[in-house]
Amino acid sequence: MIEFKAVSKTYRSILGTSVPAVVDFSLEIRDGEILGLAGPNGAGKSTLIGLLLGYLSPSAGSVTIDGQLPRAYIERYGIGYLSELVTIPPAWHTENALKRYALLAGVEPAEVQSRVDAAIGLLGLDEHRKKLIKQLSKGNLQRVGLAQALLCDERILILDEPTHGLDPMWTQRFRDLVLSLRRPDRVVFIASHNLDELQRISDRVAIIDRGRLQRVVDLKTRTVGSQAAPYRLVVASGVEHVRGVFPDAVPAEPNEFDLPERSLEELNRQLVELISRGGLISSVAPMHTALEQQFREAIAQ
Amino acid sequence: MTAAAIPPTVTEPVRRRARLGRYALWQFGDFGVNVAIITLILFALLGVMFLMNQDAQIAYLASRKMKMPLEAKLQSFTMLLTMFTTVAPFIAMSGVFATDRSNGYTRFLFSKPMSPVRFYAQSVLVRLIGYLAVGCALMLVWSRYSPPGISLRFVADLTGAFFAIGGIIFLLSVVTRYDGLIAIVFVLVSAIAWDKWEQATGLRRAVTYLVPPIGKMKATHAWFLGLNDIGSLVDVPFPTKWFLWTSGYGLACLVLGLVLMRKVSLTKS
Repeated sequence: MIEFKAVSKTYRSILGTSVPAVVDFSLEIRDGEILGLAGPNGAGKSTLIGLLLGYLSPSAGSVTIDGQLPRAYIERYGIGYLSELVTIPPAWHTENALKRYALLAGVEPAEVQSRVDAAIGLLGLDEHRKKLIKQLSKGNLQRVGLAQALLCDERILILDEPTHGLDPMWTQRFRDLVLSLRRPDRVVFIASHNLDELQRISDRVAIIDRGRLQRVVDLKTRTVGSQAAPYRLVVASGVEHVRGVFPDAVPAEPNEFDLPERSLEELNRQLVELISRGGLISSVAPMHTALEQQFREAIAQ
Repeated sequence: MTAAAIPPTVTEPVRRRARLGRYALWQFGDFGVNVAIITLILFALLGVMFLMNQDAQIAYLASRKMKMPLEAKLQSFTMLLTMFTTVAPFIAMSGVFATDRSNGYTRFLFSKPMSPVRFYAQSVLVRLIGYLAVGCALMLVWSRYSPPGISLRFVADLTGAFFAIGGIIFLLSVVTRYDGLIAIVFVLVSAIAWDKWEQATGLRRAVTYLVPPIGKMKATHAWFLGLNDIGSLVDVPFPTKWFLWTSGYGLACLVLGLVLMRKVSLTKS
Protein backbone atom coordinates (compact mmCIF):
# COMPACT_ATOMS: atom_id res chain seq x y z
CA MET A 1 0.00 0.00 0.00
CA ILE A 2 1.15 3.52 -0.80
CA GLU A 3 0.32 6.25 1.65
CA PHE A 4 0.68 10.00 1.30
CA LYS A 5 0.14 11.52 4.73
CA ALA A 6 -0.32 15.33 4.84
CA VAL A 7 2.47 15.73 2.30
CA SER A 8 3.66 19.18 1.31
CA LYS A 9 6.52 20.11 -0.97
CA THR A 10 7.78 23.64 -1.38
CA TYR A 11 10.56 24.55 -3.78
CA ARG A 12 12.83 27.28 -2.45
CA SER A 13 15.19 29.32 -4.55
CA ILE A 14 18.56 30.65 -3.42
CA LEU A 15 16.99 34.12 -3.32
CA GLY A 16 14.46 32.97 -0.75
CA THR A 17 11.35 32.80 -2.93
CA SER A 18 9.29 29.70 -2.34
CA VAL A 19 6.81 27.93 -4.59
CA PRO A 20 4.43 25.43 -3.02
CA ALA A 21 4.09 22.52 -5.45
CA VAL A 22 2.13 20.11 -3.23
CA VAL A 23 0.05 21.19 -0.24
CA ASP A 24 -1.25 18.93 2.52
CA PHE A 25 -1.83 15.98 0.21
CA SER A 26 -3.21 12.82 1.80
CA LEU A 27 -4.18 9.68 -0.07
CA GLU A 28 -4.02 5.92 0.37
CA ILE A 29 -3.55 3.67 -2.63
CA ARG A 30 -4.56 0.12 -1.84
CA ASP A 31 -3.02 -3.10 -3.09
CA GLY A 32 -4.81 -4.38 -6.18
CA GLU A 33 -5.85 -0.92 -7.22
CA ILE A 34 -5.28 1.03 -10.41
CA LEU A 35 -5.25 4.67 -9.39
CA GLY A 36 -5.26 7.53 -11.85
CA LEU A 37 -3.86 10.97 -11.12
CA ALA A 38 -5.29 13.84 -13.12
CA GLY A 39 -4.64 17.53 -13.01
CA PRO A 40 -3.92 20.49 -15.26
CA ASN A 41 -0.37 21.50 -16.17
CA GLY A 42 1.58 22.65 -13.13
CA ALA A 43 -0.88 21.00 -10.73
CA GLY A 44 1.88 19.11 -8.92
CA LYS A 45 1.63 15.68 -10.55
CA SER A 46 5.33 15.40 -11.38
CA THR A 47 6.30 16.56 -7.90
CA LEU A 48 4.02 13.91 -6.38
CA ILE A 49 5.67 11.25 -8.52
CA GLY A 50 9.12 12.56 -7.57
CA LEU A 51 8.11 12.24 -3.91
CA LEU A 52 6.75 8.76 -4.47
CA LEU A 53 10.02 7.66 -6.07
CA GLY A 54 12.05 9.28 -3.30
CA TYR A 55 13.76 11.52 -5.84
CA LEU A 56 12.47 14.47 -3.84
CA SER A 57 12.00 14.82 -0.09
CA PRO A 58 8.75 16.21 1.29
CA SER A 59 8.88 19.56 3.08
CA ALA A 60 6.24 18.21 5.48
CA GLY A 61 4.31 14.98 5.95
CA SER A 62 5.39 11.55 4.80
CA VAL A 63 5.21 9.18 1.85
CA THR A 64 5.47 5.45 2.48
CA ILE A 65 5.32 2.29 0.40
CA ASP A 66 4.37 -0.74 2.49
CA GLY A 67 5.26 1.34 5.54
CA GLN A 68 8.77 2.12 4.30
CA LEU A 69 10.23 5.34 2.99
CA PRO A 70 10.17 5.29 -0.82
CA ARG A 71 13.93 5.01 -1.36
CA ALA A 72 14.24 2.26 1.22
CA TYR A 73 11.45 0.32 -0.51
CA ILE A 74 12.79 0.91 -4.03
CA GLU A 75 16.37 0.00 -3.11
CA ARG A 76 15.10 -3.30 -1.67
CA TYR A 77 12.48 -4.30 -4.21
CA GLY A 78 12.55 -1.93 -7.17
CA ILE A 79 9.51 -0.55 -8.93
CA GLY A 80 8.33 -0.28 -12.52
CA TYR A 81 8.52 3.36 -13.55
CA LEU A 82 7.83 5.10 -16.81
CA SER A 83 8.69 8.79 -16.71
CA GLU A 84 6.84 11.45 -18.67
CA LEU A 85 10.02 12.14 -20.65
CA VAL A 86 11.71 8.92 -21.67
CA THR A 87 15.36 9.74 -21.05
CA ILE A 88 17.77 7.03 -22.16
CA PRO A 89 21.28 7.79 -23.43
CA PRO A 90 20.85 8.33 -27.19
CA ALA A 91 23.90 6.26 -28.17
CA TRP A 92 22.53 3.08 -26.57
CA HIS A 93 20.92 0.43 -28.76
CA THR A 94 17.35 -0.46 -27.89
CA GLU A 95 18.05 -4.09 -27.03
CA ASN A 96 21.20 -3.27 -25.10
CA ALA A 97 19.41 -0.55 -23.16
CA LEU A 98 16.82 -3.09 -22.06
CA LYS A 99 19.56 -5.60 -21.16
CA ARG A 100 21.22 -2.98 -18.97
CA TYR A 101 17.96 -2.11 -17.24
CA ALA A 102 17.19 -5.80 -16.75
CA LEU A 103 20.51 -6.34 -14.96
CA LEU A 104 19.89 -3.30 -12.80
CA ALA A 105 16.36 -4.50 -12.09
CA GLY A 106 17.88 -7.62 -10.57
CA VAL A 107 17.08 -10.10 -13.34
CA GLU A 108 19.33 -13.18 -13.21
CA PRO A 109 21.99 -12.78 -15.92
CA ALA A 110 20.90 -16.08 -17.47
CA GLU A 111 17.34 -14.76 -17.81
CA VAL A 112 18.16 -11.32 -19.15
CA GLN A 113 17.90 -12.21 -22.82
CA SER A 114 14.58 -14.02 -22.45
CA ARG A 115 13.08 -11.17 -20.38
CA VAL A 116 14.27 -8.62 -22.89
CA ASP A 117 12.90 -10.66 -25.78
CA ALA A 118 9.56 -10.95 -24.00
CA ALA A 119 9.39 -7.20 -23.37
CA ILE A 120 10.39 -6.43 -26.95
CA GLY A 121 7.71 -8.80 -28.20
CA LEU A 122 5.07 -7.41 -25.85
CA LEU A 123 5.74 -3.84 -26.95
CA GLY A 124 6.20 -4.66 -30.67
CA LEU A 125 9.80 -3.42 -30.77
CA ASP A 126 11.35 -6.29 -32.67
CA GLU A 127 12.18 -4.28 -35.77
CA HIS A 128 13.76 -1.58 -33.60
CA ARG A 129 15.91 -3.75 -31.33
CA LYS A 130 19.18 -2.90 -33.13
CA LYS A 131 18.42 0.79 -33.58
CA LEU A 132 20.04 3.51 -31.54
CA ILE A 133 17.74 5.20 -29.05
CA LYS A 134 18.24 8.50 -30.89
CA GLN A 135 16.88 6.91 -34.08
CA LEU A 136 13.53 6.01 -32.51
CA SER A 137 10.35 7.97 -33.06
CA LYS A 138 8.60 9.45 -30.04
CA GLY A 139 6.04 6.65 -29.94
CA ASN A 140 8.67 3.91 -30.23
CA LEU A 141 10.77 5.57 -27.54
CA GLN A 142 7.72 5.61 -25.31
CA ARG A 143 7.31 1.88 -25.89
CA VAL A 144 10.96 1.28 -24.95
CA GLY A 145 10.32 3.25 -21.76
CA LEU A 146 7.30 1.10 -21.05
CA ALA A 147 9.27 -2.07 -21.83
CA GLN A 148 11.97 -1.21 -19.26
CA ALA A 149 9.25 -0.62 -16.66
CA LEU A 150 7.80 -4.09 -17.32
CA LEU A 151 11.06 -6.07 -17.37
CA CYS A 152 10.52 -7.31 -13.86
CA ASP A 153 7.32 -8.46 -12.28
CA GLU A 154 7.14 -5.35 -10.10
CA ARG A 155 4.50 -4.91 -7.41
CA ILE A 156 4.43 -1.15 -7.84
CA LEU A 157 4.02 0.41 -11.28
CA ILE A 158 4.20 4.16 -11.69
CA LEU A 159 3.36 5.36 -15.18
CA ASP A 160 3.62 9.06 -15.95
CA GLU A 161 1.76 10.02 -19.13
CA PRO A 162 2.17 6.47 -20.45
CA THR A 163 0.37 6.96 -23.78
CA HIS A 164 2.14 10.21 -24.62
CA GLY A 165 3.20 9.91 -28.27
CA LEU A 166 1.53 6.53 -28.85
CA ASP A 167 -0.67 6.05 -31.90
CA PRO A 168 -4.33 5.01 -31.40
CA MET A 169 -3.54 1.33 -31.93
CA TRP A 170 -0.83 1.30 -29.29
CA THR A 171 -2.92 3.43 -26.97
CA GLN A 172 -5.59 0.73 -27.08
CA ARG A 173 -2.97 -2.00 -26.61
CA PHE A 174 -1.57 -0.10 -23.66
CA ARG A 175 -5.01 -0.09 -22.02
CA ASP A 176 -5.33 -3.82 -22.49
CA LEU A 177 -1.84 -4.27 -21.16
CA VAL A 178 -2.48 -2.26 -18.00
CA LEU A 179 -5.71 -4.15 -17.36
CA SER A 180 -3.82 -7.42 -17.78
CA LEU A 181 -1.33 -6.26 -15.16
CA ARG A 182 -3.99 -5.99 -12.48
CA ARG A 183 -3.16 -8.26 -9.57
CA PRO A 184 -4.40 -8.35 -5.98
CA ASP A 185 -1.02 -7.35 -4.59
CA ARG A 186 -0.08 -4.85 -7.26
CA VAL A 187 -0.54 -1.10 -7.27
CA VAL A 188 -0.66 0.69 -10.61
CA PHE A 189 -0.38 4.47 -10.39
CA ILE A 190 -1.03 6.34 -13.63
CA ALA A 191 -0.67 10.09 -14.10
CA SER A 192 -2.27 11.32 -17.28
CA HIS A 193 -3.90 14.26 -18.98
CA ASN A 194 -6.05 11.82 -20.90
CA LEU A 195 -9.22 11.59 -18.82
CA ASP A 196 -10.84 9.12 -21.18
CA GLU A 197 -7.91 6.78 -20.72
CA LEU A 198 -8.04 7.13 -16.93
CA GLN A 199 -11.78 6.52 -16.94
CA ARG A 200 -11.32 3.30 -18.89
CA ILE A 201 -8.60 1.72 -16.79
CA SER A 202 -8.63 3.25 -13.31
CA ASP A 203 -10.54 2.17 -10.23
CA ARG A 204 -10.23 5.63 -8.74
CA VAL A 205 -8.92 8.92 -10.04
CA ALA A 206 -7.37 11.54 -7.77
CA ILE A 207 -7.79 15.05 -9.15
CA ILE A 208 -5.12 17.51 -8.10
CA ASP A 209 -4.94 21.23 -8.77
CA ARG A 210 -2.56 23.88 -7.47
CA GLY A 211 -0.87 21.19 -5.40
CA ARG A 212 -4.00 20.22 -3.49
CA LEU A 213 -6.07 17.08 -3.76
CA GLN A 214 -9.42 18.35 -5.00
CA ARG A 215 -11.36 15.11 -5.03
CA VAL A 216 -11.07 11.38 -5.54
CA VAL A 217 -13.52 9.95 -8.07
CA ASP A 218 -14.44 6.33 -7.45
CA LEU A 219 -15.13 4.93 -10.90
CA LYS A 220 -16.05 1.47 -9.66
CA THR A 221 -19.00 2.44 -7.50
CA ARG A 222 -20.23 5.49 -9.35
CA THR A 223 -23.25 4.70 -11.54
CA VAL A 224 -23.41 6.35 -14.93
CA GLY A 225 -26.97 7.60 -14.61
CA SER A 226 -26.54 9.25 -11.27
CA GLN A 227 -24.79 12.24 -12.77
CA ALA A 228 -26.49 14.91 -14.88
CA ALA A 229 -24.54 15.58 -18.06
CA PRO A 230 -24.76 17.57 -21.30
CA TYR A 231 -25.25 15.58 -24.53
CA ARG A 232 -24.70 15.93 -28.26
CA LEU A 233 -27.74 14.79 -30.30
CA VAL A 234 -27.49 13.95 -34.00
CA VAL A 235 -30.69 13.31 -35.98
CA ALA A 236 -30.96 11.77 -39.45
CA SER A 237 -34.42 13.21 -40.03
CA GLY A 238 -37.11 15.05 -38.13
CA VAL A 239 -34.95 18.06 -37.31
CA GLU A 240 -38.13 20.16 -37.12
CA HIS A 241 -39.30 18.15 -34.07
CA VAL A 242 -36.16 18.66 -32.01
CA ARG A 243 -37.06 22.14 -30.71
CA GLY A 244 -40.48 20.90 -29.73
CA VAL A 245 -39.09 18.11 -27.59
CA PHE A 246 -35.88 19.80 -26.46
CA PRO A 247 -36.74 23.51 -26.08
CA ASP A 248 -33.24 24.24 -24.67
CA ALA A 249 -31.35 22.48 -27.52
CA VAL A 250 -28.62 24.60 -29.09
CA PRO A 251 -27.92 23.95 -32.82
CA ALA A 252 -24.26 23.01 -33.26
CA GLU A 253 -23.89 21.64 -36.78
CA PRO A 254 -26.50 20.76 -39.44
CA ASN A 255 -28.68 18.05 -37.83
CA GLU A 256 -26.65 18.28 -34.59
CA PHE A 257 -27.73 19.82 -31.29
CA ASP A 258 -26.09 20.40 -27.93
CA LEU A 259 -28.41 19.47 -25.08
CA PRO A 260 -27.60 21.23 -21.78
CA GLU A 261 -27.15 19.19 -18.64
CA ARG A 262 -29.94 16.71 -17.80
CA SER A 263 -30.34 13.37 -16.09
CA LEU A 264 -30.27 10.11 -17.99
CA GLU A 265 -33.93 9.53 -17.11
CA GLU A 266 -35.02 12.87 -18.57
CA LEU A 267 -32.92 12.35 -21.67
CA ASN A 268 -34.47 8.95 -22.36
CA ARG A 269 -38.00 10.29 -21.86
CA GLN A 270 -37.32 13.09 -24.34
CA LEU A 271 -35.74 10.74 -26.87
CA VAL A 272 -38.82 8.51 -26.76
CA GLU A 273 -40.94 11.59 -27.38
CA LEU A 274 -38.78 12.63 -30.34
CA ILE A 275 -38.98 9.18 -31.90
CA SER A 276 -42.72 9.05 -31.40
CA ARG A 277 -43.03 12.33 -33.31
CA GLY A 278 -41.14 10.79 -36.26
CA GLY A 279 -37.58 11.82 -35.47
CA LEU A 280 -34.82 9.45 -36.58
CA ILE A 281 -31.82 9.55 -34.24
CA SER A 282 -28.28 8.92 -35.57
CA SER A 283 -26.48 9.22 -32.27
CA VAL A 284 -26.64 10.66 -28.80
CA ALA A 285 -23.54 10.86 -26.63
CA PRO A 286 -22.41 12.64 -23.49
CA MET A 287 -20.46 15.77 -24.36
CA HIS A 288 -18.00 15.04 -21.57
CA THR A 289 -17.13 11.76 -19.96
CA ALA A 290 -18.30 11.44 -16.37
CA LEU A 291 -14.72 11.87 -15.21
CA GLU A 292 -14.23 14.90 -17.39
CA GLN A 293 -17.25 16.48 -15.79
CA GLN A 294 -15.93 15.75 -12.31
CA PHE A 295 -12.57 17.13 -13.40
CA ARG A 296 -14.15 20.35 -14.64
CA GLU A 297 -16.05 20.77 -11.41
CA ALA A 298 -13.00 20.03 -9.28
CA ILE A 299 -10.79 22.48 -11.16
CA ALA A 300 -13.49 25.17 -11.14
CA GLN A 301 -13.77 25.03 -7.34
CA MET B 1 -4.47 -11.44 -21.96
CA THR B 2 -7.21 -10.18 -19.65
CA ALA B 3 -7.40 -9.41 -15.97
CA ALA B 4 -9.36 -12.61 -15.41
CA ALA B 5 -6.45 -14.64 -16.78
CA ILE B 6 -4.17 -13.59 -13.93
CA PRO B 7 -4.43 -15.84 -10.87
CA PRO B 8 -5.58 -13.82 -7.85
CA THR B 9 -2.60 -14.47 -5.61
CA VAL B 10 -1.24 -12.08 -3.04
CA THR B 11 2.51 -12.43 -2.66
CA GLU B 12 5.11 -10.83 -0.47
CA PRO B 13 7.42 -8.53 -2.42
CA VAL B 14 10.55 -10.33 -3.51
CA ARG B 15 13.75 -8.68 -2.41
CA ARG B 16 16.06 -8.11 -5.34
CA ARG B 17 19.46 -6.60 -5.96
CA ALA B 18 20.77 -4.94 -9.06
CA ARG B 19 23.45 -7.03 -10.75
CA LEU B 20 25.99 -4.27 -10.42
CA GLY B 21 28.96 -6.59 -10.90
CA ARG B 22 27.65 -7.62 -14.32
CA TYR B 23 26.69 -4.06 -15.08
CA ALA B 24 30.34 -3.04 -14.61
CA LEU B 25 31.05 -4.58 -18.03
CA TRP B 26 28.66 -2.08 -19.59
CA GLN B 27 30.29 0.71 -17.59
CA PHE B 28 33.70 -0.30 -18.90
CA GLY B 29 32.27 -0.22 -22.41
CA ASP B 30 30.91 3.29 -21.82
CA PHE B 31 34.27 4.39 -20.46
CA GLY B 32 36.00 2.98 -23.51
CA VAL B 33 33.73 4.79 -25.95
CA ASN B 34 33.27 8.07 -24.10
CA VAL B 35 36.59 8.57 -22.32
CA ALA B 36 39.36 6.15 -23.25
CA ILE B 37 39.38 6.81 -27.00
CA ILE B 38 39.56 10.59 -26.66
CA THR B 39 42.19 10.35 -23.92
CA LEU B 40 44.30 7.93 -25.95
CA ILE B 41 44.12 10.10 -29.06
CA LEU B 42 44.88 13.31 -27.17
CA PHE B 43 47.88 11.98 -25.27
CA ALA B 44 49.17 9.90 -28.15
CA LEU B 45 49.34 13.10 -30.20
CA LEU B 46 50.99 14.97 -27.35
CA GLY B 47 53.42 12.09 -26.90
CA VAL B 48 54.32 12.20 -30.59
CA MET B 49 54.95 15.96 -30.32
CA PHE B 50 57.19 15.45 -27.27
CA LEU B 51 59.09 12.65 -28.98
CA MET B 52 59.56 14.74 -32.15
CA ASN B 53 60.94 17.57 -30.04
CA GLN B 54 63.17 15.16 -28.15
CA ASP B 55 64.38 13.58 -31.39
CA ALA B 56 65.26 17.03 -32.73
CA GLN B 57 67.32 17.69 -29.60
CA ILE B 58 69.01 14.28 -29.86
CA ALA B 59 69.86 14.95 -33.52
CA TYR B 60 71.24 18.40 -32.64
CA LEU B 61 73.40 16.94 -29.84
CA ALA B 62 74.52 14.07 -32.11
CA SER B 63 75.73 16.59 -34.69
CA ARG B 64 78.05 17.84 -31.94
CA LYS B 65 79.10 14.32 -30.99
CA MET B 66 77.07 14.53 -27.76
CA LYS B 67 74.36 12.31 -26.26
CA MET B 68 71.18 13.45 -24.57
CA PRO B 69 71.44 12.59 -20.85
CA LEU B 70 68.76 10.44 -19.20
CA GLU B 71 67.93 13.26 -16.78
CA ALA B 72 66.99 15.51 -19.70
CA LYS B 73 64.75 12.86 -21.20
CA LEU B 74 63.02 12.32 -17.85
CA GLN B 75 62.60 16.05 -17.32
CA SER B 76 60.95 16.30 -20.71
CA PHE B 77 58.69 13.40 -19.78
CA THR B 78 57.77 15.10 -16.47
CA MET B 79 55.87 17.76 -18.39
CA LEU B 80 53.89 15.14 -20.28
CA LEU B 81 53.22 13.22 -17.05
CA THR B 82 52.01 16.37 -15.30
CA MET B 83 49.63 17.05 -18.17
CA PHE B 84 48.30 13.51 -18.09
CA THR B 85 47.81 13.34 -14.31
CA THR B 86 45.97 16.65 -14.36
CA VAL B 87 43.88 16.41 -17.53
CA ALA B 88 43.06 12.68 -17.76
CA PRO B 89 41.24 12.57 -14.38
CA PHE B 90 39.23 15.59 -15.56
CA ILE B 91 38.18 13.77 -18.72
CA ALA B 92 37.48 10.56 -16.79
CA MET B 93 35.41 12.08 -13.99
CA SER B 94 33.78 15.18 -15.44
CA GLY B 95 29.99 14.95 -15.23
CA VAL B 96 30.10 11.58 -13.47
CA PHE B 97 26.79 12.25 -11.67
CA ALA B 98 25.74 15.65 -13.01
CA THR B 99 25.38 14.42 -16.59
CA ASP B 100 23.09 11.56 -15.59
CA ARG B 101 20.98 13.84 -13.45
CA SER B 102 20.75 16.79 -15.84
CA ASN B 103 19.91 14.50 -18.78
CA GLY B 104 17.30 12.67 -16.72
CA TYR B 105 19.05 9.28 -16.95
CA THR B 106 18.73 8.90 -13.17
CA ARG B 107 14.95 8.50 -13.52
CA PHE B 108 15.04 4.95 -14.82
CA LEU B 109 18.29 4.00 -13.11
CA PHE B 110 17.06 4.61 -9.59
CA SER B 111 13.67 3.01 -9.96
CA LYS B 112 15.75 -0.19 -9.89
CA PRO B 113 16.68 -1.97 -6.65
CA MET B 114 20.00 -0.29 -5.96
CA SER B 115 21.37 2.65 -4.07
CA PRO B 116 22.80 5.57 -6.02
CA VAL B 117 25.77 5.51 -3.65
CA ARG B 118 26.74 1.97 -4.66
CA PHE B 119 26.09 2.68 -8.33
CA TYR B 120 28.34 5.74 -8.42
CA ALA B 121 30.98 4.22 -6.15
CA GLN B 122 31.25 1.45 -8.74
CA SER B 123 31.25 4.00 -11.53
CA VAL B 124 34.22 5.77 -9.91
CA LEU B 125 36.05 2.46 -9.52
CA VAL B 126 35.46 1.62 -13.18
CA ARG B 127 36.76 5.04 -14.19
CA LEU B 128 39.84 4.62 -12.00
CA ILE B 129 40.63 1.23 -13.55
CA GLY B 130 39.96 2.56 -17.04
CA TYR B 131 42.13 5.63 -16.44
CA LEU B 132 44.97 3.45 -15.14
CA ALA B 133 44.62 1.13 -18.14
CA VAL B 134 44.80 4.08 -20.53
CA GLY B 135 47.80 5.51 -18.66
CA CYS B 136 49.61 2.16 -18.70
CA ALA B 137 48.83 1.59 -22.38
CA LEU B 138 50.26 5.00 -23.25
CA MET B 139 53.27 4.36 -21.05
CA LEU B 140 53.93 1.00 -22.70
CA VAL B 141 54.02 2.67 -26.11
CA TRP B 142 56.12 5.59 -24.82
CA SER B 143 58.65 3.27 -23.22
CA ARG B 144 59.39 1.71 -26.62
CA TYR B 145 60.84 5.06 -27.71
CA SER B 146 62.07 6.76 -24.56
CA PRO B 147 62.46 6.23 -20.79
CA PRO B 148 60.92 5.76 -18.26
CA GLY B 149 59.25 2.37 -18.33
CA ILE B 150 56.08 1.22 -16.64
CA SER B 151 56.38 0.41 -12.92
CA LEU B 152 54.39 0.15 -9.72
CA ARG B 153 55.58 3.65 -8.82
CA PHE B 154 53.99 4.90 -12.02
CA VAL B 155 50.68 3.23 -11.14
CA ALA B 156 50.83 4.69 -7.61
CA ASP B 157 51.54 8.14 -9.04
CA LEU B 158 48.57 7.93 -11.41
CA THR B 159 46.28 6.59 -8.67
CA GLY B 160 47.18 9.43 -6.29
CA ALA B 161 46.51 11.99 -9.02
CA PHE B 162 43.17 10.36 -9.88
CA PHE B 163 41.91 10.69 -6.31
CA ALA B 164 43.36 14.19 -5.89
CA ILE B 165 41.60 15.59 -8.98
CA GLY B 166 38.78 13.09 -9.49
CA GLY B 167 37.52 13.32 -5.90
CA ILE B 168 37.06 17.07 -6.19
CA ILE B 169 35.21 16.68 -9.48
CA PHE B 170 32.98 13.99 -8.00
CA LEU B 171 31.91 16.22 -5.11
CA LEU B 172 31.22 19.10 -7.48
CA SER B 173 29.28 16.78 -9.79
CA VAL B 174 26.92 15.89 -6.96
CA VAL B 175 26.15 19.52 -6.14
CA THR B 176 26.26 21.24 -9.53
CA ARG B 177 25.98 20.48 -13.22
CA TYR B 178 28.98 22.73 -13.93
CA ASP B 179 31.37 20.41 -12.12
CA GLY B 180 34.11 20.33 -14.77
CA LEU B 181 34.27 24.09 -15.19
CA ILE B 182 34.24 24.83 -11.46
CA ALA B 183 36.84 22.12 -10.85
CA ILE B 184 39.21 23.72 -13.38
CA VAL B 185 38.87 27.08 -11.61
CA PHE B 186 39.28 25.44 -8.19
CA VAL B 187 42.40 23.53 -9.19
CA LEU B 188 43.97 26.61 -10.78
CA VAL B 189 43.16 28.77 -7.75
CA SER B 190 44.61 26.06 -5.48
CA ALA B 191 47.79 25.83 -7.50
CA ILE B 192 48.23 29.61 -7.56
CA ALA B 193 47.43 29.98 -3.85
CA TRP B 194 49.99 27.36 -2.86
CA ASP B 195 52.58 28.81 -5.19
CA LYS B 196 52.17 32.36 -3.88
CA TRP B 197 51.14 31.96 -0.25
CA GLU B 198 52.59 28.68 0.99
CA GLN B 199 54.96 30.57 3.25
CA ALA B 200 52.52 33.41 4.00
CA THR B 201 51.03 34.07 7.42
CA GLY B 202 47.58 34.96 8.75
CA LEU B 203 44.48 34.85 6.55
CA ARG B 204 46.38 34.07 3.33
CA ARG B 205 47.94 31.03 4.91
CA ALA B 206 44.57 29.92 6.31
CA VAL B 207 42.91 30.27 2.90
CA THR B 208 45.79 28.45 1.22
CA TYR B 209 45.55 25.55 3.63
CA LEU B 210 41.82 25.17 2.90
CA VAL B 211 42.53 24.23 -0.70
CA PRO B 212 44.56 21.21 -1.77
CA PRO B 213 48.27 21.54 -2.62
CA ILE B 214 47.68 20.31 -6.17
CA GLY B 215 51.10 21.53 -7.33
CA LYS B 216 52.72 19.17 -4.83
CA MET B 217 51.70 16.21 -6.98
CA LYS B 218 55.01 16.86 -8.70
CA ALA B 219 56.69 15.43 -5.59
CA THR B 220 55.14 12.05 -6.40
CA HIS B 221 56.24 12.41 -10.04
CA ALA B 222 59.78 13.05 -8.78
CA TRP B 223 59.61 9.95 -6.58
CA PHE B 224 58.46 7.86 -9.55
CA LEU B 225 61.10 9.25 -11.92
CA GLY B 226 63.88 9.47 -9.32
CA LEU B 227 64.57 13.08 -10.21
CA ASN B 228 65.21 15.68 -7.53
CA ASP B 229 64.32 19.39 -7.72
CA ILE B 230 67.49 20.29 -9.61
CA GLY B 231 67.03 17.49 -12.14
CA SER B 232 69.63 15.04 -10.79
CA LEU B 233 69.04 11.30 -10.75
CA VAL B 234 68.70 10.27 -7.09
CA ASP B 235 66.58 7.89 -5.08
CA VAL B 236 63.82 10.33 -4.05
CA PRO B 237 62.00 9.27 -0.87
CA PHE B 238 58.23 8.75 -1.09
CA PRO B 239 56.57 12.12 -0.39
CA THR B 240 54.17 10.75 2.21
CA LYS B 241 52.97 14.15 3.42
CA TRP B 242 52.10 15.60 0.03
CA PHE B 243 50.74 12.34 -1.35
CA LEU B 244 48.39 11.91 1.61
CA TRP B 245 47.45 15.57 1.57
CA THR B 246 46.52 15.78 -2.12
CA SER B 247 45.02 12.32 -2.48
CA GLY B 248 43.43 12.41 0.98
CA TYR B 249 41.81 15.75 0.18
CA GLY B 250 40.34 14.30 -3.02
CA LEU B 251 39.31 11.09 -1.29
CA ALA B 252 37.56 13.11 1.43
CA CYS B 253 35.71 15.03 -1.31
CA LEU B 254 34.73 11.73 -2.91
CA VAL B 255 33.34 10.36 0.35
CA LEU B 256 31.54 13.65 1.06
CA GLY B 257 30.01 13.47 -2.43
CA LEU B 258 28.72 9.96 -1.77
CA VAL B 259 27.24 11.10 1.56
CA LEU B 260 25.63 14.15 -0.05
CA MET B 261 24.14 11.96 -2.76
CA ARG B 262 21.70 10.75 -0.12
CA LYS B 263 20.60 14.34 0.50
CA VAL B 264 20.36 15.88 -2.97
CA SER B 265 17.52 15.45 -5.44
CA LEU B 266 18.12 12.57 -7.83
CA THR B 267 16.39 14.41 -10.64
CA LYS B 268 16.91 17.89 -11.95
CA SER B 269 13.36 19.08 -11.21
